[in-house]
Amino acid sequence: MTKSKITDENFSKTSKNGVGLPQEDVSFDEAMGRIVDGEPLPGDEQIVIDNLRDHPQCIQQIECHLAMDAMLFDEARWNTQSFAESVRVSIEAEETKSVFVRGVQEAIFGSGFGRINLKCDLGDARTSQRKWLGHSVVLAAACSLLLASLLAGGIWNAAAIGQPVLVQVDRVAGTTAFTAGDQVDLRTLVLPEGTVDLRLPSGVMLECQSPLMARFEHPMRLHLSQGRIDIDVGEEGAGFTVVTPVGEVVDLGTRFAVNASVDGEVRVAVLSGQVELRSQNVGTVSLVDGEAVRLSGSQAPRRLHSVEIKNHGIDHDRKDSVIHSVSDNVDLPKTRRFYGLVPCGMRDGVRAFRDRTPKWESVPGEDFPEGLLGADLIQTFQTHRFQRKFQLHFSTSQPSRIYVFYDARYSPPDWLARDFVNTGIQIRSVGWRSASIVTRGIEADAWGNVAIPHDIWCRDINRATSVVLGPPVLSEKDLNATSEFEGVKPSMYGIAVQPIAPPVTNIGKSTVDDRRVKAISVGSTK
Amino acid sequence: MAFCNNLPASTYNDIMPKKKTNTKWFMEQVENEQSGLKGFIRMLGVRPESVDDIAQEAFVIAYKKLEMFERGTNFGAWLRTIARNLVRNELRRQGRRRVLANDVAEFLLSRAEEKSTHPGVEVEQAEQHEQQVSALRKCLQKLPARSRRLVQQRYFEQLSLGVIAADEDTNANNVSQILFRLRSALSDCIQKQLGDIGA
Repeated sequence: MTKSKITDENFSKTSKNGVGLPQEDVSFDEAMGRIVDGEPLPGDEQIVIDNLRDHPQCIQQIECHLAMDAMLFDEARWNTQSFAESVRVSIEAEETKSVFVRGVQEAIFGSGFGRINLKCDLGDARTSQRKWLGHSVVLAAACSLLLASLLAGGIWNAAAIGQPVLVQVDRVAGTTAFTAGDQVDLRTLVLPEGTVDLRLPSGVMLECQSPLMARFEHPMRLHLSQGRIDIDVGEEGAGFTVVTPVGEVVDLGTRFAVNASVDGEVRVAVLSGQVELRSQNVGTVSLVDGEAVRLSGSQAPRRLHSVEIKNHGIDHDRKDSVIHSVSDNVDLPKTRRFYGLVPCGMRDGVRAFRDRTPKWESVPGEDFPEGLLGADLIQTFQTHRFQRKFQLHFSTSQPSRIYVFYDARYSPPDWLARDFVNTGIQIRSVGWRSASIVTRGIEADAWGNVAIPHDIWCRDINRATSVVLGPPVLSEKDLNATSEFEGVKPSMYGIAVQPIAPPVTNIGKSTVDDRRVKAISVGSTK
Repeated sequence: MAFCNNLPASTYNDIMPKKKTNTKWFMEQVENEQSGLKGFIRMLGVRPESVDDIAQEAFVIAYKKLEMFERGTNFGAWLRTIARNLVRNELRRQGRRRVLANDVAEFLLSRAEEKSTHPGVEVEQAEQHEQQVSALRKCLQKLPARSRRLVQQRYFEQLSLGVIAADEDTNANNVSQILFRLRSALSDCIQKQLGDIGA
């Protein structure tokens, strides 16, 4: 290996020749360094492989660098115990599976199954064929039973691992695996269809969404292999931990959602309070209310732009959201804010923003606007709203009416005035703190509520499309007359989308405004 | 008894009762062998982010096939054989996302297979691992501030070369070369430490 001293000069020097290395050692060093670092350039592999074949000392050198690299990564791991834990969970899962399968086999074949001494005799071929057919039929029946027990039963308790946990079934939808009001002992939870809400003895509430596979280690620790669980830990459940394939999510008194996908990615969103992510590869990361990340392998946590929020308010015929892929162009380090997408969730009293607690409410003395009821709601956030080039993107899957709720105290930004129509109707965001910058100058009403009035702007689109909205800043004229950061602080706007029937051509006036439809794709500032 | 004391720590012998004790014994091996096994897997040209996955797969396979483990032989060597087979399978796959560079990984794997025909070399390397880790810790403490920061960025925060380069106002190639020299220097330091211990 090239002799080097540990000095800060290493930062400024270029590569130097080593002792006893081949002529091309500089390019070999560089190419090998990049390969070890996992970021090779084209041609690096050829340089390295040629040197490895011709110069034995190069083999020692690359082995030495790889070994040192491995030792440094290993040294950097905050907790080697978690690796052993992941191995333990894996081998327990293997045991669970084998015990479960053996249980089914024994239920069908009797307790002697597996101990039969199978011989390949030379007897009558027809007899052998019949025996084989018989085995095949029984084997198929066993497989069917195994599958049926998983699908119909939904939940299975293999004589297995972890502690059984007594859970109360609070709410069931779309599955026959559970009955609301029952109490069951659970170790392992497989939910192939529907949703179920389970309450643990500690008061922790689990909202399980299929397809889901999870296992209790004990009442305060759940291993999630696949699927989404929304967790409300209540007052006594602080410390409840969800173990995922890429790390642990430790609750610090909150509501949060964890979603483990089959491709190994885990998504964590904090709906209120705070959680701590503990990952072998990434270390410890804290997430607060309104933040969400994606975790996979050894990559640093990446921002998760939108999270679907369950709508517990009203039952609605429509199940699927017409909005998809909500995101923005904010690309700042450590930004982890997410947009809440509430299918059919727009109603009086629904949470307005993901990072603040105010709710959308009707203007006093008036009904909540009927056209908004049951619309898909995007819960935005206040952070980053003053970035002049801010853009909010989403797509719609069918003809829709897009509503934007803009702070009525201020003139609309150019993009809103240009591409949308003011309906003349208002709603309010209610529940602000009086000391908040965004509510400066607003007096609390007779009930002590601080509310911001929002004008409802709307626009129809006649097809599935992508929509881009601009920043909630003032018009260019107003911006020129005032500072962006002093005094003028409109609230972030809200968004709702209501599906509408496709336009009917040549019969009267369409519900869709064709003039506006032509300019639909972008509503951002130009 | 003197006879028992002469057995290698990782020897699985007839004294072990079945099942529960097997699991307990196995988890002790996971604790003892994980670091060395990960280093071995990395030396086969596996990407750092995939090392843990393959190590975990190797342990799970070892557990499932524990009855096939030849008692009285070296458990670490058996694990390394399983790991080599896993990497060999990875190289046969299309995509091969878990290895650094296919030809280099093939070369390193072939060399590891050659070495495995002389098990003494591998066992000796594995036995030195603990001492090397201990020496590395001392060497890391001697690093000057900027080098320590680079180790922190690359290995603890797992930042890419490009991100570190932006932070240090240089380019990714320079960062790679600095890391190269840093690893060389740490290796020399470890050799010196081990030499001092041996002297």
